[in-house]
Amino acid sequence: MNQAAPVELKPLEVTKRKLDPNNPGLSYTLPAEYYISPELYKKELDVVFGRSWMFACHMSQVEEPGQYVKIMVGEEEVLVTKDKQGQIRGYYNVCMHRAHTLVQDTSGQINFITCPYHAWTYNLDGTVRSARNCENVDSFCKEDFSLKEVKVEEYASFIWVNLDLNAESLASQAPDLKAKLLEHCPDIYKLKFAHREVWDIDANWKTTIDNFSECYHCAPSHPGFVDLVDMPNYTVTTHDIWNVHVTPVPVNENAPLKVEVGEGKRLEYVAIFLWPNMTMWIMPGAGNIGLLYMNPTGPETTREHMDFYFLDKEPTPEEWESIVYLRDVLQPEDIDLCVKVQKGLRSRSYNVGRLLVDHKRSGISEHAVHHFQSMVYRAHHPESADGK
Amino acid sequence: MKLTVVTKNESGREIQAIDGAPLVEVLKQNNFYVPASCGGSMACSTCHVMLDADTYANLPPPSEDEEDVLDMIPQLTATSRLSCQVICRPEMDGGIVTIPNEMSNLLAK
Repeated sequence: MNQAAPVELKPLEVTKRKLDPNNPGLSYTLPAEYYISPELYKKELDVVFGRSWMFACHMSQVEEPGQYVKIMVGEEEVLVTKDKQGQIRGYYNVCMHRAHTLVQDTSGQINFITCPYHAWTYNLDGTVRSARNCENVDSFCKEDFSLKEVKVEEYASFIWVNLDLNAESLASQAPDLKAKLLEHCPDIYKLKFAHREVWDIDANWKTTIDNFSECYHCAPSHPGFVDLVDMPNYTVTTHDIWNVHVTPVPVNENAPLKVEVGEGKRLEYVAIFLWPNMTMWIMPGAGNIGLLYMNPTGPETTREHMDFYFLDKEPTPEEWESIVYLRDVLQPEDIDLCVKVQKGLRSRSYNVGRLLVDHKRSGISEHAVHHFQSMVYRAHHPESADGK
Repeated sequence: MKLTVVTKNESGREIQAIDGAPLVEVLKQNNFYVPASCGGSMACSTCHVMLDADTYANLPPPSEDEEDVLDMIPQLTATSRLSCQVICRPEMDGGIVTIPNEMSNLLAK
């Protein structure tokens, strides 16, 4: 039988081409295996999603005791609610009896937490409220079966959770983020949840973040969007665990989205990335913020949520127009890019690419991609703080 | 003591209740459909009944845990009770117990 010639799967010179966390200008990308390997995906569920602050909701969504939201943190379901003493609590959404998941809806209002399997109930503070027939069982101690808690923090009007009970607070990890958010969205504390869009994307979660981290692709891939923004004045600056893109709104009669210019209305687009999976998108005009967050559902699949917050829970016609633009134009364009990148990452021809980080750190420079990928690299290699 | 039970199929059937028995047991013994799926642990609401105003007023008020369940029932009325929490007493003699047409079940969510 003829043996096929062995195929060189990855270029030999790859060892010289590396992501260099300390040298954005000369750095290459993360290797493709980070985007396709089931083992590295499993590792990230622990070293990234098991240890980072993840968005849960706006404060106004857990204002009353028993108001709750259910979110995904990697592959974990987490329930966030306010207890009867007014404390915000976060729990794994898992019954401590026989592991059935507890709440099934993504949000709602409850007086206690019920497991539908055997009808165990928990108080909002996580203690067992009732366990049917437990009084007839030897050595049953309700205190042993309180819900397992996660860490919860309010920061900049949002509720964040962290599976790592020893995690440093988000406020200490990103101390200047709150001021930046308030600078661009002074009404952030008054906002109300208005609308959610959800997409399932055939791409690794990092592929989608990489895409959001640069506007090098904007001109070729989002022809409409570049008419909306002022590309020569587009800036991208990186900070500890976040980076921010700001672009003024030019006066452009042919823009695909009309922006209402008025007194007190803000006149720039702002996108703030927060490690590991969140982009906060502030449109020009009245108080608003859109939260785009990427949750992995497998090594090469991601669920994207886009939650819109406005001053009123009923969006105005202009706000609906911006939702529709993002939903029907910008997001489908980005998702299509990510899916095709993911396909390319699986090719035997590709391992690493060169990041185009220019001297000026211009609006088309890829330094925020480098910023994000360096954080991924450090999460995988905590033993080398400098990432070497 | 005697109680009258109203359901969507019966406009009022008189039954005999025993002093000290949980109302839900009395209803079950008389073949009324009240699943009481959680066995009296105040989780499910499937034993929800409405009482006449006088009977309701003569009973000790519901506990906070019972209120927490009642509060989540869509069919809640001013005289709603969980029949697993109502212990039959002589003062209830002549009372009217209505089993709602639509059963609420908090476990089905």
